[in-house]
Amino acid sequence: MSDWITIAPAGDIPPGHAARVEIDGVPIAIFNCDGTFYAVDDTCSHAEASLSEGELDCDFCTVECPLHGSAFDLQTGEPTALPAVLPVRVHQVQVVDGVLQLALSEEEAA
Amino acid sequence: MAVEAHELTKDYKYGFHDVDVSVFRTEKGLSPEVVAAISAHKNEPEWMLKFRLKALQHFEKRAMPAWGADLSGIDFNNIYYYVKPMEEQGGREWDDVPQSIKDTFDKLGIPEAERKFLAGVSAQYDSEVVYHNIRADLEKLGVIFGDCDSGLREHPEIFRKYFGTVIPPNDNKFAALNSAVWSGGSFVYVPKGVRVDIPLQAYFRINSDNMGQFERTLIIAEEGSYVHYIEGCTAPTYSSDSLHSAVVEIIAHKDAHVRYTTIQNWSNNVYNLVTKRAIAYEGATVEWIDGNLGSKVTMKYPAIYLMGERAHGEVLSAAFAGEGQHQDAGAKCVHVAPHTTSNIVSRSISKDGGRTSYRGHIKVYPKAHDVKVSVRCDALLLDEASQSDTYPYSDIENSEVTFGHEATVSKIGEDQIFYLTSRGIPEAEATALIVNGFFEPFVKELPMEYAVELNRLLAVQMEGSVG
Amino acid sequence: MAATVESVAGITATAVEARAAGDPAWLAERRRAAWEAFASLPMPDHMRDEDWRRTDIAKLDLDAFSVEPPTTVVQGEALLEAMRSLRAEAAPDSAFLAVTRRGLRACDDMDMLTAQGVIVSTLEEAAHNHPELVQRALAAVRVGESKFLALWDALWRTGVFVYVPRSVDARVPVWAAYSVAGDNGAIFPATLAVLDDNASLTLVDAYASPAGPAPLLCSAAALMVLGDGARLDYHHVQQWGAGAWHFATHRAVLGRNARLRVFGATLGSRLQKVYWDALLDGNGSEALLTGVCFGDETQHLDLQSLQRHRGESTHSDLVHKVAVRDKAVSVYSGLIDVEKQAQHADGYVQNRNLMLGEGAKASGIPRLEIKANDVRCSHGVTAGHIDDEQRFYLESRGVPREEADRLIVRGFMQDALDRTPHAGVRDLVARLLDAEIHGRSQAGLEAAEDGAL
Repeated sequence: MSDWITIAPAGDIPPGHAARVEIDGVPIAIFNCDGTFYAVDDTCSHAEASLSEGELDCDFCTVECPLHGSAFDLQTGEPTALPAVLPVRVHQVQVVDGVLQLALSEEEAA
Repeated sequence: MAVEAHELTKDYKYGFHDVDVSVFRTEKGLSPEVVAAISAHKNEPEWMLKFRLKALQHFEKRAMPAWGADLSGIDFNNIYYYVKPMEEQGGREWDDVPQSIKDTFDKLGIPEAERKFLAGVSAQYDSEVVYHNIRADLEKLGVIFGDCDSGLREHPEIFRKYFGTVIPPNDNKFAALNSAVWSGGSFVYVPKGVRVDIPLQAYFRINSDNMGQFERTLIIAEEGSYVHYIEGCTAPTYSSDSLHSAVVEIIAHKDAHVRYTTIQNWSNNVYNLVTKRAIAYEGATVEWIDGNLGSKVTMKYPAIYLMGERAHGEVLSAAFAGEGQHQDAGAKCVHVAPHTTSNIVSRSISKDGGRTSYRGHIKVYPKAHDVKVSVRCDALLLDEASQSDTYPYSDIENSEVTFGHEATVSKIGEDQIFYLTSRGIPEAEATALIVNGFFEPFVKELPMEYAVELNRLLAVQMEGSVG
Repeated sequence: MAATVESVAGITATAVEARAAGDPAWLAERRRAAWEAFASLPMPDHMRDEDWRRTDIAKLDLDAFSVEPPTTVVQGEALLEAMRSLRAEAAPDSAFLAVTRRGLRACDDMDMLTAQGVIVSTLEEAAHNHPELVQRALAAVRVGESKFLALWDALWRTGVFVYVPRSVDARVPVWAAYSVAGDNGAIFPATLAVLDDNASLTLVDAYASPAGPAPLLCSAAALMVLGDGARLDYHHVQQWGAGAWHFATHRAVLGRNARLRVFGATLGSRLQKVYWDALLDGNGSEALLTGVCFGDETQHLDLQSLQRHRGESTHSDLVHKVAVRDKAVSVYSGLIDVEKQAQHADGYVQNRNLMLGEGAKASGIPRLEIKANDVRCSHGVTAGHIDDEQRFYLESRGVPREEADRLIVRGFMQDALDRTPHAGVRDLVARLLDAEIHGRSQAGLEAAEDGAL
């Protein structure tokens, strides 16, 4: 498993909010859904758009890409609607002592 | 590190609790109020209202496409987006349809014979389904064939499961518009293993001045099923421009087979901007048979996403552009899964300054190996004033693929004309014969009545009279 | 060897002024206008510019390159020798000019052409001595037309100029060799040719740098004007090292009944975006364009072509053969544009892509815009892998698989090679392709780098 990287105080990303960070040149989107954190690759698998600018649906735990509307399941990274057909990588997130930490997925970036 | 977080969940600020439901016709133009009135009038569930409003936001934000046909003539504020012609929705028998509406169908010359053989007909009139008839045996098989409004109401789980998953609201500007103000259109559900032998048909029409047609069709074919759906539409001529922005979503499950035939002959003032897309799962086949004869401008690129192994996609496209017309049509096949195949054939003719454009996209994803794709586009230019374009895009990201695309543009060969004229056939007739022959691959895929109607329409076009 | 000193001559207004200092006034003015245009134009963006949609140059940093080699490092010879021997192999009788960042390094065997009245010189000289002729060729580019053309327009130096007088058939080819060595060099090859009525010429542009990952920037232009009845056979062979960013526009304007044949071989560079523009202005003019491209490793090779039919009874035919291996990417986008009055036009485009590895990608976008009706235009794109049947045929005759595959790839390229106008260039490129097919990348020359050029 990849190493845990310290990102920010968990309070920096309140519920319903998202942030974009870059780790080793790869943009990652972090979301807070009603207190639970999720992290996926920021770049949509369909086209060059930033998922951290998209629409978060905490009921379904998905984020919708702002460009063409594909929604991605934040737990699996799989698209739940076209036109995206490929999943985005999911990264592990944890909160330790109020600090948000992230471990990059071991899969190769697209 | 410090991060900059921003809010993504948005609460819709439009709290429409008390809406004037007696609105017979919404005012011209587009606004959250109009959208909410439509939803309230249809008594839709909350999620659909939210869906519509969100789609409206996307529509307003999104720029007009920078490519394709010239859409500068569309005045979005000068259109009625919803009109209901009858108190209740859809009678069951043809006899229940109002006489004035029947008369219009008569004028359009829908042959008597057709009506007898139809399995079921949903006739759209001014955005609302007026006529709805499902044959008893279809019902017994569990086949659902109705309009989308009823589909949402009577089959909410299936409807919600698939609606908007093939074409999400902000897929493109016009899908967003449709998603905000959609009304009518067909909802088809074919259960596992069921074969629907007779084509399901529907008619659409723009009738009153400045009406937009925003029908939404959703077709779900369960495992191993077969269905052929035909959409043929006509519209009379108006003084100001009309807008038709439809969305068609098809889901073909494992080993299912769906064929969707369209003959479009909108009058020459209509902007026909359609998003049609299908998902084909394992072993499934989807065929788009797409005929574009009318409208001022058509932009339509039927698409198939081949998501399961051994899925197959077929697009057969025919376009005719006469004076003042621009048919910008094509096809899109996206190979996501391995062992998939697709075949696209496009035939177009331009005459009297008309313009046809083929616009296509073939994409083969990296994991899609053993893929075969064939694209063939042929265009005829009948005179000096006309124009033809071809814009085929192909992105092949797997090596184990056989992909071929070929296109030609030319005029009718002198030798072909000579062959016929030297046998005593007048040149105009000779040209018409050749045109018929040129469209033959398309026409032969149509049911008889349509083939006859199409040949009649082509003859009219070739005579130079405006359809 | 002296230590490499950081050159201060980057892509700056100072460098432009340094060039302009030696120019005639009209050229200096053009350079300055081009520099202004360059400075104000944004870098092409794959999100915003359709031409660049599949070619992302976000990682290119123009500030990292030097237009002058470091003065403390000696001028190399090994690379020049290698360039010489390529020319000797393919066209030993040709008039040879070698251009580097420092200027002209060789100018051999001009006599045969001079005796015929053919003008062959550096472009710099020609700007002084034959301004009208140079202007005729430069007119093919609008100042500020695009970012990389503006860069070229502002910063080219030396260059090669050829003028062939009326009815003269240039007896030997002209071979222009452009080379760069030493880290982070930037070069702006400028080959301009003007052929008067019924003149003919064979012209070769060769680009090469040492093999290796050293970053390099090239923004080149070759502009050719063909008078009525003129015939030009133009070849270009690109063998930049694997760290090179290569941008080039090869553009020809054809008069009545003129004939252009182009052959371009792409073997090197990290990323290239090349434009071929064949402007068939004169009635009866004809352009035959052939490309061979072999990409390996992570090369990104983009060719964009335009066949513009403006005159009547014009004919154009393009064949672009691509083989991609490893994770290489090829992009081909071509437009046949037939204008309203261009009746009796024949236009053809064929792009064939052979995919040789799991990660390889090919995009083909041949487009047609036809506004005249009495025409015949067609195009085709294919993408495929090695044909199992062909392979089996060879293996069953005792040819081992690897060898069979090589023969098949070579066979795939053969008909494009057969279209090479100059036999010597054809054989040279065939040899380079063979080496490439055998796994020896031809990105750059295996010349020991003994200095900076």
